[in-house]
Amino acid sequence: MTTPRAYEPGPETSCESQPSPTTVRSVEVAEFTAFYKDDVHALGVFLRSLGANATVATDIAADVMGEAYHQWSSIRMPRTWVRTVARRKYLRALFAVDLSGEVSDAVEADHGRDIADSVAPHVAACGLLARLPLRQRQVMAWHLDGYTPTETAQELQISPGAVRSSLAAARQALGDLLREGTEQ
Amino acid sequence: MSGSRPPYDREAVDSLLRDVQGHLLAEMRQAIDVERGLAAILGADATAPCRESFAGRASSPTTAMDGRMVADTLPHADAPASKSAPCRIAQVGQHLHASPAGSASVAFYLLAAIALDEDLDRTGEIAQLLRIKVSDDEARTRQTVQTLAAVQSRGAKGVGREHARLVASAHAHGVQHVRTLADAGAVLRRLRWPAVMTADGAHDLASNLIAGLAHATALVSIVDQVVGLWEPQTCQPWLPSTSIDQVHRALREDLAEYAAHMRATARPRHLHEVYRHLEDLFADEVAANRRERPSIALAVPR
Repeated sequence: MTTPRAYEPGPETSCESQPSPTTVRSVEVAEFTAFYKDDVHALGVFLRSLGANATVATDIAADVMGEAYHQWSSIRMPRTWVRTVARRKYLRALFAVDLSGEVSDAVEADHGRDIADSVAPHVAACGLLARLPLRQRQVMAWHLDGYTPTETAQELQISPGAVRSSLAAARQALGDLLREGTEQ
Repeated sequence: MSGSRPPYDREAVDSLLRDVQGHLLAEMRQAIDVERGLAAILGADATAPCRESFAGRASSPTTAMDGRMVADTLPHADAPASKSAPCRIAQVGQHLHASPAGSASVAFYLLAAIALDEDLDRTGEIAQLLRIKVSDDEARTRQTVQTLAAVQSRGAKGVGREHARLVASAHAHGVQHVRTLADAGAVLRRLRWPAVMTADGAHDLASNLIAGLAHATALVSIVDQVVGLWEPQTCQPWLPSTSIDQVHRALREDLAEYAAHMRATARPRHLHEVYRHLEDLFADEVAANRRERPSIALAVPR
């Protein structure tokens, strides 16, 4: 999951055969291109799972990918890197306070209910995810993206036990919501 | 953990999560155009040095002269006037996935040039062609242009420059109620014009708009920049050379057509007079060591 990037200047490269800066750059561009094509949609899904609406998710994904491109040579685990940066960006936006001390309307509207608002007409199930508390959505987002509790714990800087606990609580809450829906 | 809560149906929850994931993925595939997103990122990088170079050179009177020479090499054919040239410029870039941000900047430079040519009656029309969300009524459009000029003036003096940039861009897009910097930023991110624009791109666009009002007001400079944007050394590596040629040629044709139209129509001021005026302004600017930069938008006499 968090395997380092495929391309790294190999120690076996001799001084004589060292690629020129132009060659290295073109390799990096090719690497980034492959990574972008492979991951940008998944990054959007990750952000949506966190609670971002489609517009914000798309914007943040594009921003983060742009940053990744510019720092590509120093990023060892791009998949995790973009998710970490994206999560921070989203949280910063979520809790951003403008100069007058009010939460921006545009961002405030993102919180939670966005998933339900924009997706529920198509898939009612998505609305249930939006009703989870933020922490549970966070661990669920990493979980759905294929990260183990230990890896998620590292990224969120909490204990693996706390991740597992939040995941279990999230699943239990979803199960309860599903049952409620069925009973109604 | 769950206390007295009954155990949940694991299969039902797993199925729910799969549904959610599947739907969100489909949604993101619809929302994010991979090729254009990639073009925006790599294209912005490819053209950035050119933009910086342009910004550095644009204040020089010599550049204006060079730009005029470039413009003079364009065919001054008596082609029928076309009102869609700016739109086509943006479309050419987008169609070939070539630097949407660059296309947008060029389009805005044109808009700024038109505004500075004091033919404000056409600003709304051009905005419509560019698919900018500007109010239908001409008064609003005039107000937008005047706001831009005023904001540019404040920005040039270094007072609230960052705020001014964002607000100006939001106004340019027809957003009326921008109360705060955060609002403007949020608005910009949501506008996403053209279709692919990152927050950085939006900010660049705002900056370019201001820079356009300050420096790139002459069509010759626009030509200069457009030609530079698609020079082989700065163009996107994934575009085959034939496409580059096509873009280059199409842009030249569009600009030539537009220039011909500008020349053909009865304008309050001919372009060469605008050029001369701008050259004088640039010369003044250099003489003043750029500390008290004149507000070109406001300085053009009516």
